Amino acid sequence: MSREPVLVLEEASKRFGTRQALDRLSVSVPQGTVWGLIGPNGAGKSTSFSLLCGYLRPTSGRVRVLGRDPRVPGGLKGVVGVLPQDAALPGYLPVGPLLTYLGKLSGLERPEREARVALERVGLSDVWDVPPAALSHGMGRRVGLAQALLGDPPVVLLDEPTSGLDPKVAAEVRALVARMRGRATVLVSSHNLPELEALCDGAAILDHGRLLQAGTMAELTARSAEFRIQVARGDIPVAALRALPGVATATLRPDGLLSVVLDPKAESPDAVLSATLRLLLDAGVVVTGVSQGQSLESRVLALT
Amino acid sequence: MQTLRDTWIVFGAELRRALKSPRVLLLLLLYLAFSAGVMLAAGALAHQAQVQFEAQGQGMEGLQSPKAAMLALLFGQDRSLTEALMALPAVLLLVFKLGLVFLPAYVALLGFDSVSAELQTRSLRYLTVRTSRTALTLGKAFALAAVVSLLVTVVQLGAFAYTLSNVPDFSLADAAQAWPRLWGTSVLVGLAMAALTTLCSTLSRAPALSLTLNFAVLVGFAAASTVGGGARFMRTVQEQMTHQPAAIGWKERVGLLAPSTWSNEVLYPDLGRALTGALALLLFACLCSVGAVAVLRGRDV
Repeated sequence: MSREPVLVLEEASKRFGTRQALDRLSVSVPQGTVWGLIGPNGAGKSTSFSLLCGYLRPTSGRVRVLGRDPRVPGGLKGVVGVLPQDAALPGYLPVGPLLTYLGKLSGLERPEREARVALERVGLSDVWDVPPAALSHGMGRRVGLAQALLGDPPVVLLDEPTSGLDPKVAAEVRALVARMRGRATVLVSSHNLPELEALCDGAAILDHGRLLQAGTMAELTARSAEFRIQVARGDIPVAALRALPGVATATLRPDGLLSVVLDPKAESPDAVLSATLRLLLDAGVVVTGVSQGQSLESRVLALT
Repeated sequence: MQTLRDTWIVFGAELRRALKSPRVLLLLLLYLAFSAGVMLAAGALAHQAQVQFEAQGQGMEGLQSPKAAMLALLFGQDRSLTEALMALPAVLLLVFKLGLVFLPAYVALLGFDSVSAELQTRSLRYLTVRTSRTALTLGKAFALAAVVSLLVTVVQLGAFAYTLSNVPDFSLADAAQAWPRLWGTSVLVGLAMAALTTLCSTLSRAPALSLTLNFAVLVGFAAASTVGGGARFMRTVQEQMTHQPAAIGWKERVGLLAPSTWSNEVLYPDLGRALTGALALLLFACLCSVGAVAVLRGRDV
């Protein structure tokens, strides 16, 4: 993750009256990655989005998108696509003309063509003449996603993109976002942690407006720091396991879950995992599952 | 350049939106119906008065005539202005003046939610990441001004057509001479009110609050105009009695704050005075537009 940061919040704070919505938050998102913003309600996710989109002015701190101040007039034109969480689509034009209008404002050369392409990408080619007010919630979100993808902007900010979508469409949206990896920098906010874990290269975990932890998904889930082995039956040689090079501790729970924490100095976590499995299999232990690190959900629950 | 281009795009979209909006169309129809009603009623009354005064052997044209009294009531006690307006048919002036009196309220009803409704639903967020808030504000203000200009043009055309067909002394040449002043004044007041309404719309997320604020400002202007007009009348009376020029007091200066004071100025035969009035209305429109841009640029959306 040594690429240039595209989205930067530096010591950014935002206060609404007496409520501190963000408290000196510092997060940076590297170019070409899919990054998640995680946290419970009121954690500051949408406020962070709004600062990055220039909707809100930070009370203090610095915000940059592609090195630009998002509050500078027209500074994000054509380079940022946004799906806001709770903004109603403008209702004065049918979907197709609306997207064409937005494309014109983004400075696209062929706005109508781009609008048709964007609607096709979200599977809504047939709503061109439909007024936004006549769309279902899910279809409205997909139109919102289509306008965010207009003209393939280099930065895409998606606030709860799969909220209210049926599982099939949600999976299609996830696939769409995954395909953007490398071509665009994507910031996704969601309460769906398994979704973010599968989708994101990294994430920032927020609570009460503060950053709790940020890093790559491997770092957050401690993928290279521990692994778990589900044992069905057999005598586990715990002492021998603890003596293996690279193993710091090994503990067995009554339900047969063996948790192995790696020595931070271990050179290859994969080699330690292989050695551990070999030892168990040689001892006649029946293994039914292996997982690396914690789930993102466990990590978030532990932190917040 | 980019801002100009975007302003044009927003203007086009907002104009199409306005001309398709049932509320806007209904208000336009109401305003047209109101103007037509005033025109017909004023035409009938003027005709009746003419017949009555002619039967009594009184003229309708002197400065002591009922028409002059009506002009003084509508446009203020100024001899030179009354003299200039005496040449025009009463029905035309009545439609013009009543149209101007109610125009600010109509403009407020047409555009009070142009920005505030989009702030409330946050749909403005889809636009602010794509273009400057300056282009958004100006595009919306210009679209409202265009709708209002179209409205007053239709009303003025109707009034002129009615007058031409019903007042025998009013020729096409007279109409061509009167049209620039009357139409220009209506358009300038429309522009000023469109800018004021846009400014009020940027001040609040709640459309109802924007409308209330807009009407409160209009009431304030009406009060200023009344105070200023009253003070001017008293000064005129004093000057006539003493044959000495009297000083302009602060009450009369308060009247200068009201756009309606300046709309009267545009009608003066003296070109310099008329231009001053026109420039004052344009300045008012510019100040309100700049204010609207500044408010929207400074606020969270």
